[in-house]
Amino acid sequence: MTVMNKALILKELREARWKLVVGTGLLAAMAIGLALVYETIRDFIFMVPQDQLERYGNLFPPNVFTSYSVYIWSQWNAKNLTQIGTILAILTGMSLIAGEFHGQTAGFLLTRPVSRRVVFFSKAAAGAIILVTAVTVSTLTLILTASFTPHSVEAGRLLVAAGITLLGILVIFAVTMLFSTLIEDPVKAGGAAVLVVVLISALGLLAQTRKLSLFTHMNAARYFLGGVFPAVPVVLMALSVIVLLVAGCQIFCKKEV
Amino acid sequence: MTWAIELDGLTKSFRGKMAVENLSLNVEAGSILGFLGQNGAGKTTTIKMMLGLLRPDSGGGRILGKSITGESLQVLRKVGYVAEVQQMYGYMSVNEILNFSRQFYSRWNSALIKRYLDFFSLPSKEKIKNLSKGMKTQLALILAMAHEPEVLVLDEPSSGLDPINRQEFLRIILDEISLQGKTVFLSSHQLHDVERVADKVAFINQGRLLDVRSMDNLKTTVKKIRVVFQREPGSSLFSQPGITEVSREGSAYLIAVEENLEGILAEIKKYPYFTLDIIDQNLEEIFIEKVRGDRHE
Repeated sequence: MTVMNKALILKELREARWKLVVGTGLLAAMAIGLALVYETIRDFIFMVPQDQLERYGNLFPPNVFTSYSVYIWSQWNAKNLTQIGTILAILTGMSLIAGEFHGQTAGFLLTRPVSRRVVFFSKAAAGAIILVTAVTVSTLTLILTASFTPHSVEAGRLLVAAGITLLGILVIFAVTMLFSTLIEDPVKAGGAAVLVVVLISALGLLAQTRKLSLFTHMNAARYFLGGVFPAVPVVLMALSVIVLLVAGCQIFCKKEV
Repeated sequence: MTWAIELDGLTKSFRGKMAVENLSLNVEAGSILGFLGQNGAGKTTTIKMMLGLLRPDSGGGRILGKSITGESLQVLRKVGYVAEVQQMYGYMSVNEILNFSRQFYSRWNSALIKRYLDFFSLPSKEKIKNLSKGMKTQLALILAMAHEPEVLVLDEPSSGLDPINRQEFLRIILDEISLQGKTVFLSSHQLHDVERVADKVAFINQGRLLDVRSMDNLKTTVKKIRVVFQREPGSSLFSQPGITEVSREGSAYLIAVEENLEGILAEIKKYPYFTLDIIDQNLEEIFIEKVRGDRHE
């Protein structure tokens, strides 16, 4: 049973090529930057008086500079990759379905002899390809850049951590795609996804609800700092992606043009 | 008789407003059906249900034996469709959209495409967003014919075309499509166009199918009789079967006839008259009469 179509995936990749190029380029530039400025930031932090440093407590927790690997993880998975990845996931997902309706091309597309299920999952696959490419290329850029510094980075663990973060990004992408199916305006669909992301982040602010926040798990802290692979969150994130995409597909299959 | 299109009780409403009501219609394989109605009569809604873009509230149908509700993919493989508004991917060039579309079909007639690209002088490397409305319609027709469909569904295809392009469009419908035994479902309110090409016409108004007639039948039986009697005839004359409307024009009676022309003429001639003329009706006049008659009911 075919669930994707090459021509459709290529069409979506073409339409979203600037998101892929800019997203990957931005992440890669950040990766290069943070790999190279370790010593500068560390020296700066050590120069700052203790009372003022507390102001930066959230930005650079005291244990960040215990090793280069921890610094890289804290700035990559816990910050840049998660934040930029989330934005990229929303920008990628919001127009995939809604864009066809908003641009009035849905009628043309859906009168080709291809099932709606194939259309939906081809679009999802194209979005996933963009996100996987951006995360993989930028993380590999980070590891490669780090290899030119005098410090060592735990490349394998960083890649696994990036995989966990990527899974979280895919959850946000699947949420956005669901809204893109429900709302026939890409901007409104993206706005709805942003609202959900804000709600999810809010859960992470309180100690009682922190475990419920996607962002708590997608930064892979438990894995990178504690050495425990977060099997349950990973399975839950993977299941969330599947459930959200299947729900989106069901709605799309019944959608009228 | 083989039916290419069989619609059975198609019904669709939007937010409680009836768009198509219990529409049943059969189209013979190899024929051209003109589907006539005013804007908002339910033509596009019917077509969208035929192609699986809209789900009927009730009823259903078959195209080439495949269910329009349960087998729409099989239907789409054998149907070519030209939409009322040509919204294709503007960033693609003519060549690119042809290559994109060909990947969904097992049959693809490259020679036909080349012939029509040349015939219409369509620039194959031009982006679709830069094409005129007429060029987009021509491209849509090429896309609809490229996979050699057995049924062609055309939704107001000639609206927006200049007279020369419209002539060419109609010639293609007649020469390329109909002569090859393909079935054409032509929705339009360009009645002159339909009159030229259709074998049968179906009239739709406010979502309801008013009548389905062959063009031959329309031309031979739908007439107006203008008669000036020497004295007033009995009222029983005007209740003859086949008379749809009687009006006065000065001293003359104008009698609209839909069928039973010979019988009605025979009855009229029983009364002494000064003049009697049989006036041919073109499709536009017939259409207006039908819609007006439906409003009065």
